[in-house]
Amino acid sequence: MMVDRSLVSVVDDDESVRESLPDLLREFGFAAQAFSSAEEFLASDCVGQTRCLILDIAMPGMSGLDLQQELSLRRQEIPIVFITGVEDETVRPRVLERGAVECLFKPFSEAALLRALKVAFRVS
Amino acid sequence: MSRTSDLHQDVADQNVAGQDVRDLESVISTPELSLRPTRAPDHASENRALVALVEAMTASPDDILQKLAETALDLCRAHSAGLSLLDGNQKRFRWAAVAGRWAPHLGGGTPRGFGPCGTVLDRNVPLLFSRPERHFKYLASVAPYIEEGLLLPFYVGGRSIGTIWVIAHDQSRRFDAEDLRVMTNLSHFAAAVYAARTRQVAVQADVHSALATENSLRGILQACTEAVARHLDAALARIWVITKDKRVLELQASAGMYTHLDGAHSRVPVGYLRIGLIVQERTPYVTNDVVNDPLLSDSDWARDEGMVAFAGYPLVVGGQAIGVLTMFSRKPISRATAETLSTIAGTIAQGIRRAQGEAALRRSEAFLAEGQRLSLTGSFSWRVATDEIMWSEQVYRIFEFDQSVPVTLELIGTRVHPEDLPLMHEIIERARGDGSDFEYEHRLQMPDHSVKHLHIVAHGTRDQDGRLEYIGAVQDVTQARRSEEALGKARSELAHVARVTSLGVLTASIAHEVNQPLSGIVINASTCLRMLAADPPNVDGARETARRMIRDANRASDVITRLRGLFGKKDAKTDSVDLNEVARGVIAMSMIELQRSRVILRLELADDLPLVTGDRVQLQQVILNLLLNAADAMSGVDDRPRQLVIRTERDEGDGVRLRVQDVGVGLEPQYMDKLFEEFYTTKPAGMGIGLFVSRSIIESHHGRLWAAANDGPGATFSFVIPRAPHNVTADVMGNP
Repeated sequence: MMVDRSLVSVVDDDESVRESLPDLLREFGFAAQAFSSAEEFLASDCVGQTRCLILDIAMPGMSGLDLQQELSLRRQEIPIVFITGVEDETVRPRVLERGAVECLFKPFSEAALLRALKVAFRVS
Repeated sequence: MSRTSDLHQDVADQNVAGQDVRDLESVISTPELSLRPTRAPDHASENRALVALVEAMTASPDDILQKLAETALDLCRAHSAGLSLLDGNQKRFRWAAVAGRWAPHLGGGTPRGFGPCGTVLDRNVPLLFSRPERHFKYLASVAPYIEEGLLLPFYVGGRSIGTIWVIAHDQSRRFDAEDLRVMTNLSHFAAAVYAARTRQVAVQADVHSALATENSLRGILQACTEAVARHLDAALARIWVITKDKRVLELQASAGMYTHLDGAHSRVPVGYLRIGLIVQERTPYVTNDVVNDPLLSDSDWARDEGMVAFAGYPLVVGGQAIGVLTMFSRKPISRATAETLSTIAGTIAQGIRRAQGEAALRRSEAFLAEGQRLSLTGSFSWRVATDEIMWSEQVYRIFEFDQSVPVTLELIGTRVHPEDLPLMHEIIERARGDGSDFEYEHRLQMPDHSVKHLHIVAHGTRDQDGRLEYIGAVQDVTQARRSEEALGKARSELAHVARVTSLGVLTASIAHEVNQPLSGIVINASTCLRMLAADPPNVDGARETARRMIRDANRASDVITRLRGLFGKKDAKTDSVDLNEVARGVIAMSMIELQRSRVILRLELADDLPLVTGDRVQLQQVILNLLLNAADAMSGVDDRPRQLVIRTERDEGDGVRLRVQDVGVGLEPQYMDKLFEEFYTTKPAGMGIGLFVSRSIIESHHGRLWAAANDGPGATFSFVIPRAPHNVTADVMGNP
């Protein structure tokens, strides 16, 4: 699975995540693309190609949860790994219940990210 | 005996008993005056005498008639001389002034209908009587007898007033044509003197009556001008009074042709125009040539109205001119009238001062009573030796005792709260001992068990005998104490609310702010290791990720520094504060909350915003409060974007403005006034503290906080605070 150069899209308003995470994903062997907002992602031509979405929860405008709902409405069943800087323990069960693959709290380890990606690609 | 007139019947009948009653005509020998040898006129003596009379008229107007009699005596070298005046009821002549040998008969007189004076008035010509007792028998009893009497009538304004006469008691003196000439002059003079004196008396009587009966200063002055217009032939009489700042004369009364008080001369600066000069120089001014005095009025007016004369007298009290009394007249103003004006000017000046003094006293008494009522402060005195206590009305009201009750320490003790009684006794004993000033608070327990808080201040003084007396004030501070308690409660609630909310918000925001760069560091570190472990190692990529790590670590460090800056200061401080920076800090802090509320935030922060002076944390509290309120107001909005605009800008004045604009439920017009009241809330879980505290914070920054409904949906809350005194802008402060 690591050689098919599947596209992993990152949506986060935080610049340091947008800069660093795609490089790491490429080191993992994925193709990677970063977006600064849910709106930007939806407007791009990457939605259909994205095999996995790494999605920040708290963003100005459309939040990660809004995007999840929007994709679900569009029948775009992309596995989603949420990442969030807010340590709110109630968030994780909520998003998992709504079909997310995983919810990682920032800062997360490489191992945790890899585990989540494995689950995501198994699901897909 | 022949009686020619029925008029004399009654008196003539009295004379029937007597013998040798002569015919009236036989005792009149006027024609002889022109037949007798006459002496040369002594004009010099006559003028001297008249000048002396005029001076006497102003110096001592009350005995002018006596002076007149003496002058007649002197000029005619008569044995007796005098004036007879008709009584008010026109029935008798009274000898109002008598000089010479008849002086003891002052106050005597003759009947109007039967006597030489009556005959002179009836015929309205001067008459010379010889031995008149031969006809008027009753005169025989008046000694010494009349050998010859020269009598002249005098009239004032067509009204008969009396006669002026000279008498020779023996044949050593016989009157002639020169005496008739002199006496004619004196009779004219007497008429003028009498008229002037009458006017003077009348106008003074009216002025005194005005002072005694009118209540207001205006009323007094109006009555005075009316008296001047009525009695002194004034076409216009007016009074101006100087203003408090002593710069302007204000027209207070006007009688005669104009009675209005507005118009061209209603306010005249001191030193300006004739009246202003009269006041400035404290010098009267009288002219009988009004038309040619440019300082008086415009000459057209004077000419058209036929004005001839003007007199203006300063109203002087204690060396200070406090106004001016003026009159215009269509006739020349006589010296006598001028003197009358001078006299009543003095009276009016005293009256003004007294009325002003009384008004000031009434006002200050009223002020005091009203002040005591409004401030809930009463005053008291306490004579320590005798324990005599005096209370003002307000103290009675505070203690709720009837004013008829005599005040004693025991009575006071019945109202003092039992727990505070020992304190009161201690204070009293200490005051008795050393007479030092005291100030303390105690409570009252009223009959209905309500409690009042009193603040008492007293100052000890000693009278000349060394007896100690306290003068003091009692203030009912119950309301203030209750407010303080409520405020204290509100403060602790506020502190609690602030602690609870800001802890949550703070934790979330610290986590968020710090976790972002931390996750960057961790991801970069992983990437870096992988790049270095590759074969061949991707050194350039690793170098780039290491650089990013350093940058992210610095970012995290900055966040900590900023958070410490935001929350480290506990006490209110005044710094130069950049509102943009404060707003950004608040937004960072509340971002989570805003996002959870689906608020779309638009920032419009002015680039060149001046700094303000204030407490950063307090201002942050205000902005946070406005922000969260705006978010709350939009929580039910689903038909439009929940847009929130935060805008900073320079105010038109010298201030900085911040607006928070929402598209929420808006403001109910009827509750606009209550918005900023303590404990007013529209939120189910609200405490109604936020806006109240926010406004008090902004006001403590010398600014204003207000709310306005938007043209569209929602409301805008704005505050303005003054810019910092120095011309520094945010850029200079190295803003991030």
